[in-house]
Amino acid sequence: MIESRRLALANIWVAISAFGVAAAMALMQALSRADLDLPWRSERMYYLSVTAHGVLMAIVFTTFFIMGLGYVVTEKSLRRPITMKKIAWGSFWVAMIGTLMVAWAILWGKASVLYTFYPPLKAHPLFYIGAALLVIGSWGWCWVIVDTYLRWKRENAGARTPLPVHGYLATIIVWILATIGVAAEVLLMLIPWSMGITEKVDPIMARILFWWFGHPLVYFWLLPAYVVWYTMAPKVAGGKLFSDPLARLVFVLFILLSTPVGFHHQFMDPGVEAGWKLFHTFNTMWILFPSFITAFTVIASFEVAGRLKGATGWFDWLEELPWGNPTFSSVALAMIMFAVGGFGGAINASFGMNAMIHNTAWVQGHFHMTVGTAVALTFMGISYYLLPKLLGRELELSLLARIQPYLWFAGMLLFAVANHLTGLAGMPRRIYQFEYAGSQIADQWISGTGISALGGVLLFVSAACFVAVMFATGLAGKKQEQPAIEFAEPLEEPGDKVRILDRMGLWVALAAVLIVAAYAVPIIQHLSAETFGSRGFSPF
Amino acid sequence: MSDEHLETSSEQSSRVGGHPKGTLAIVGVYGLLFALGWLILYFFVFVPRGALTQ
Repeated sequence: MIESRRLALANIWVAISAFGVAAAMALMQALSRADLDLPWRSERMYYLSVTAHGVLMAIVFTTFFIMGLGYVVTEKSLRRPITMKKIAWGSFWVAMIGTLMVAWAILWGKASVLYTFYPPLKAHPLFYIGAALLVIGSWGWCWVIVDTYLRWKRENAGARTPLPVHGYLATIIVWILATIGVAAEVLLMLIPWSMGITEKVDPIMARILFWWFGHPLVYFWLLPAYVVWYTMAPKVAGGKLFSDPLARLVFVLFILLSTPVGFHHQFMDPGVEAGWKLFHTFNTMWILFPSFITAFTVIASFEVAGRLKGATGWFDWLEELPWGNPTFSSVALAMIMFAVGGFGGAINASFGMNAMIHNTAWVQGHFHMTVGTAVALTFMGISYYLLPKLLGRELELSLLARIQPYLWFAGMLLFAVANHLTGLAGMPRRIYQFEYAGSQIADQWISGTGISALGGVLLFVSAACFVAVMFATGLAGKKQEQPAIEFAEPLEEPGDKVRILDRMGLWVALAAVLIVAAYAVPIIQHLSAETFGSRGFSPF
Repeated sequence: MSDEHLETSSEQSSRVGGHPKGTLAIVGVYGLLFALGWLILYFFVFVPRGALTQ
C-alpha cells in the first residue's frame, strides 16, 4: 500500500487532463499548418492554441507528472512515508490555482505570448502570477521530498541513497537552480511591467534569465524519465541494471552541466558577447556525454534481460524483450527517438550551424523528439505500469495501450522528420500563414507541412488512446490487488564504490560555481550597458 | 539455498557476466552515425550556403 497514493494520483490526474487538452490544441495547429479549412481558424486562435499547447504540455503536464511520480518513487524506494503531508497538499493546491490562472489567461485570449513568453509580447498579469504560483507549488514539493530524504538519512546512517531517490534529488537540484532565473524574470520584471508599475521592460535581460531557466527545464523533464529508464524499465524487461555507479555519475553530471548552457538558445541575440556564447557551447557539448552513458547503460540492462532469458548472440536478445508490454515499448521507443533528437540537438548547439536552423521548423521537430517523445512517451509508458497499482484496478482497454506507443512513434517520425527537413529548407516556426504571402521558396515546404499534419493526426489519435485508457482504468477498471511497485536491482551492488557521487552538497556547490562563471560577467556587462527597454505589445 | 538455485544463479551470471557486446555494437554504430551526420550537415549544407554576411 502506498500512503501517498491520493497525493500522487491527484498530481497525475491533473497531468493527464492537461495532456488531453494540450493534445487537442496540437491537432488544430497541425491541420491549420496544412491549410485545412477548419472552423474558427484565425491568427488569434492559432497563437492562442500554440501558447496553450506549449504551456500545458511543457509546464503543466510535465511538472504535475514529475511531482506525482516523485512521491511514489520516494516513498517506495526509501520504504518510509512522505513527511509534511499538509505542505505537500498545500503545494499541490498552490500549483493548481496557478495553473487555473494561467489557463484562464490563455484560453480567454489574454496571454497569446507562446510558451517562452518573451517580452515585449505582453500577457495579462494573471498569466505571470499563475506561472509564479505553479513554480512556488513545485518548490513546496521539492521541500517535502528533501525533508523525507533527510529524515530517512538520519534513520539510516551510513546507508547508500537508493538510486531512484538519487535521481530525484538531482532533478530537484536542477529545478531549484533553474527556477532562480525565471523567478527573477517574472517577479522582478514581468509582473510589475504587466501591472503597469513599470513602463518598460528589457527584452535581452528577460531572455537571458528565461534561458537560464529554459534549458535546465529540459533536464527537469528528462531526469525523472531517466529514473524510469534506469530503475524501472530494466525490471519491466525482466533484467537488472547494468551499472549503478554509472547511473549515479550521469545524475551528478546533469547537476553540474544543466544550467550554464542557456546562451546556446541565444546565438542570434545581440547583447551577449560571442566568447560567452562559445563558453556555453562547450558546456552544452559536454552535456551530450551523460546521455551517451545513459544510452549505453540502459541498453546494456536490456541486453542483460535478453540474456537472462537465454539469448546468446549479438542481437538475438532484442527478440526476447517484452515489446508487447506498453511500459517497455514506450521506454524503448522513447529512447530510439531520443537518439535521433540528440543528433538534432548537437546541430542546435553548434555555434555556427545554429544559424542554419535557428527559429525554423527544425526546432519544433527537435523538441518534439526529445520532450515530446523521450519524456512524454516515457511518462505515458510508466502510467500504464503505475496507475493500476495506485488505483488497485486492472488496466482497461489494454489492446489500445499496446498499440498506442507505436502509433505515437510513427506519428512523431512523420511529424518531426518533416519539420527537420522543412526547417533545413528555411521554413520558419511559429508562423500562422500557410502561403507565406506568396513566397516562392514556400512552395518547397508544402509536401513537408502535409506530412507533418498527417503525423499530427496520428499523434492526436495516439494521445486520445492514452487518455481513454487512463480514464477507463480510473473509472471502470476491475478492482483487483496489483503487484507491488519494484525497482531494478543492479547486476552488482554499489557497496562503498564512489560514495562521493552521493555527496549532493558538494555537487550543488560546484554547480553554483559553474553558473556564476557562465552568467556573472555577461549579466554585469549587460546591466552596465545603456539599455532603452520596450513597451509591451499585445497583438490580439 | 538449494543446489538447483545455485546452479541457476551460476548459469545466469555466466550469461550476463561478459561484456554487453550487442550494446557496444549498437552504441558504436550510433556514435559513428552521429558524427557522420554532423559532418554531412557541416560540409554539404552549412559550408556551401556561405557566410551570413556575404
